[in-house]
Formats: sequence, structure tokens, C-alpha cells
Amino acid sequence: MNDSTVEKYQVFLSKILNCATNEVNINITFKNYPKWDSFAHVEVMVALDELFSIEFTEENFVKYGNAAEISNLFNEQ
Amino acid sequence: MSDLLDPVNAFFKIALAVKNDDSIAVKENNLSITYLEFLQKVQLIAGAITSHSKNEKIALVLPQGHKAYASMFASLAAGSYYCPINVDAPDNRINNILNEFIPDIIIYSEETSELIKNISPQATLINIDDALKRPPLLEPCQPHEIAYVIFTSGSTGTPKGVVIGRKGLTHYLGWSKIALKINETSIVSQHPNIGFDLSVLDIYSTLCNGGTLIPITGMKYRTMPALAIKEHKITHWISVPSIVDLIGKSKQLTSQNISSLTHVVFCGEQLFEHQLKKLFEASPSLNVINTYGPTEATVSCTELSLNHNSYKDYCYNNNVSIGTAIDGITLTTKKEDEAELIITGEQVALGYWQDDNKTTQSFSIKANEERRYFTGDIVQSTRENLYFAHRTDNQIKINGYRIELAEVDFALHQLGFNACITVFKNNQLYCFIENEKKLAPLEVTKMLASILPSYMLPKEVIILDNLPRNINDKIDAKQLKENYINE
Repeated sequence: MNDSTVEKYQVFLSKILNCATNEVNINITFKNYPKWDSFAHVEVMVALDELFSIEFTEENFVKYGNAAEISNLFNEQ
Repeated sequence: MSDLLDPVNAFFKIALAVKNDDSIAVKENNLSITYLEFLQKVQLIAGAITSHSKNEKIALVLPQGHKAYASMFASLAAGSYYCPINVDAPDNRINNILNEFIPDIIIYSEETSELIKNISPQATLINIDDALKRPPLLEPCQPHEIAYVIFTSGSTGTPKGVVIGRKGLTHYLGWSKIALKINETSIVSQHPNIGFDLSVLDIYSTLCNGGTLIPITGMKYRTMPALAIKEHKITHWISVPSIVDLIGKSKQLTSQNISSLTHVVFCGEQLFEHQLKKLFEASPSLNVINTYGPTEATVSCTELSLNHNSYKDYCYNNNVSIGTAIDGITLTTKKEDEAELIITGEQVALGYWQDDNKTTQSFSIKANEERRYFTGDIVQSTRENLYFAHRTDNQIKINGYRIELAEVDFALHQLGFNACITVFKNNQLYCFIENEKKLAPLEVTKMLASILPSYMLPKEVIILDNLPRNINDKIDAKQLKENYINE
């Protein structure tokens, strides 16, 4: 499977979470996916800031600890 | 050690001496609690505790914040002792601790009420907000011999309680008063959760010396602590060293973000040279204090002051020295070069909670002799400096949390995996299991997450058809580490 046949958010998260793209789905979150720890969440937020200029607010840290919200960002791109 | 340094005496003295209503004890989200307000809360909670006839053992099931801190002081002021609970741990772990401790009183809040639904009916439950409406206890009671009992990882799957004496805590606070130089102008981080003994250092050192404590809560500040340092103008940062790597990852370890810091205190895990290098590059004037100590010696018992000019003298193979014993503590080893470290002195714990066998194995407690604790930590003396080398057993530390590998194995057994082993490599945990249940690795990790706290979860679960065995027919951990985990 190459990048073009999977959703962009899956490729984005699988690279940061160091897992297969098919392990990433819209149900995974910072709380329920063990590889999504504090270190990985820093990477998620820094990368989202670079791609979408996400502000570092408490609301955004909580909101984007959720694959569904990240997929929305990519879909709105 | 002077009674004036007793945490209750020191805090009451500071709080009553404060004439200025603006002196803030704890700053939490949008709430600032002055020393006088904090003192009133301590007296009210202590009043609620002493209103019950059975009030020796207090379990604190409260989130990180001023109510938990006030309850700690209140427990001590009431002549009781307490057990702090990490409310973010899985329910079964919290239940295990409460079942071991068997508290007389549980102090909880609305946020944590679900966690205590199934606990022993003997305990009196006190809702912290109700406690604040009771008559206060104005004069502290006679201190109990015990200050607190804190639970760490245990090899049988049951957490092990370490019993810390009031005199041990007082001795430790005597050291921290001199070493950390916290005063009314200091703004101090409160990063570790209250179930982790490192929190004892920031909570007591700040509130017994007139500083302002900032609980580091919420995803934003927990994930990017540099933002908390900058926003709150924190002067003293106290945490495990791996926080430096976390801040580095966020690209926020800059002079601008940490310009308010004067002191950084590390404890709980090995400090590495690369972490110091990054810190001093961002802030060359910083005072860094590296400390070492097991929970059994009241948080820490060594110190090493490091600055930009001298730190390299204390580094060897990327490791930073653990320094020398603080006043009143003696460190000895059985051999000269590399041997198990033995700690002697007032700060040594009174033993393990209701476990005479384990206490006898690890402590030497005799009448008319100072208590000794055999750490299981092998240290090495190189160029006249002491360095942590490795453990004598299967206990490891990740992000400051002490983990018995056997406890993770025990959890796997509980889940029905008969042939399994947990190993430690590259500062990470890996679980190997034999393919009995035809489950995917992620499913196994999720099952583990339901019974173990997050810091005990493996980086990876590796499922093999057959686990290799050594000549004694034991699972060959060495072979698994070499063949299945990259450097």
C-alpha cells in the first residue's frame, strides 16, 4: 500500500506513532492508543503547527489528541 | 534535626507570619490561593479528620492540585499519616493499593468519586468540599511516627508500600531548605503526580518556605512544559530528567522560554550529559542539582551542583554523577569500585507496609542503630565520582517510575498468557509472548492498558510461535533482546 491509497491522516499519524498505516483509524486517541504518548503528542502538535498553523492552546491539545479531528483537518485542506 | 523544620510547624509558621494577602501559596488554572486561605483549608480538613474517632490512616484520592496538597498537611496536622493515590492509574491498581492500605478515612472529590465506589466499607468517606465546611483544627496534634506510605511497583502484581517516618521527612526538608533556596519570590513547578514520591520535594519545599506552587496540569502544559515555565515565570523546575528531551522535541528549549529559571532539580532517573548540554546552551547561568535516591530513602539522599563551566567534569560515558551523600546520610558499598549502595540515616524508611519478610530482606533495623537500606543499585566510582551503573535485580526505571519487570509478566499471566517475558532495552519495555491466543499485538497492549498504568506499558508486544529457551529450559531473554530488538 502506498501513500496515495491510504488517507493522508493515516500516513501522518503512522509516521509519528511508528506503526503500520492500517493500525491507524479514526477511533484512536491519545488516551486509548498506547503508542500515542506525551512524546508522540508533542510531535503531532509540532507537525500540525507546521502544516496547519495550529495554535498551542489547551483546547487544541485536547482536540487533536484524537485521530478523527486530525482527519478533519486533512479533509478540509 | 530541629522541630521547626517539621513540615506542619514550618508551614504554620510561614502561613501565620504572612501579613500580605497577596502572598500566593498555590496558583492553579485561574485560581490563586493565598497562604492564609491555604492555612484555613488545612485547618478545616484537619478538623474534619479529627472529628472522626478512627483517623490514623488517611487515603488521599484527589487530583493533583491545592486540595490534595492541603489534605497532606491536614493529615499530618491531625496527627495522622496518609497514602497519596495517583488518580490516573487504572481502577484495579487503585483498588489494590486501597485494599493493602485499608484506610480509616478516604478523602475524595467529585471528580474522583467513581474511583472509590467499590472500596472497603470500613473506611469513612470525606468529600473534600464538605470537609471545608466543618469546624477547623487550630492547633496541630502530636505528630505520628509515620508521615506517609507511598506505593511502588511490586513483583507479585501487588504494589509495595514504603513507610516514611515523620522524622525522615523533616530531615529531608532540612536539606531541601538549604539546597533549593526557595523563598517568597520563588515560583516552583509541581510536575510529578502525587502518587510519585518526587512530588514530596516540590510540595513541601515550596509551601514550607513561602514560595508559590504551580501544578503542571492539562495536556498543553504536560506535553509542552516550556510553555508553563514561560507563562508562569517559574524559577524552580523539579522533575525527572527526561522532561528535557520532551521540551527539546517540542523545539521550545530556548533562552526566551526558560529565562525565568534559576534552579533545576533532577531526581527519579539517570541524568545524561546530552540533557545538561541542551539545558546550559539555552540558559548558561542555570544552577542544576542532580540527586539520587530510592523511595525508601525519602525521595533523594545525594546531591551534585552543576553549572555551565563545571558539568563536564562530572560526566562519564554520557552519564552524570549522582554526587555525594547529603548531611546526615552515609553511603557505603561492600567493595570499592563497583558494588551495591547501602544508605544509612534518619531518612531511611521505617520498612515496607505490613510486610516483615520484605522489610527484613532489604533493611537493617536494629534498636540503638541507624536504619540501613540495601538499595539493589550497583554504583561505580570513577575519577572520584559516584555513578549509577545498573540494578542487581529485574527492577528498572522509566521516566522516574520504578517498575518490576515481573509485575508486567504477572499482568500478562493474569490475561491468560502462559509463556511470556518482559525485557528492558534502549530504555523501553518489550513483551514477548507465545502465540497461544491468536491475538494481534495491539490487542494485547490494549488488554494490558486496562490493568497497568501507562508508564508500565510495553513499547512493543512481539508475538512468536515459540519463545527460545536456554539450557535450563527458561525463556531466553538474552537471545530475544539480541535477535528481535534493534539497538
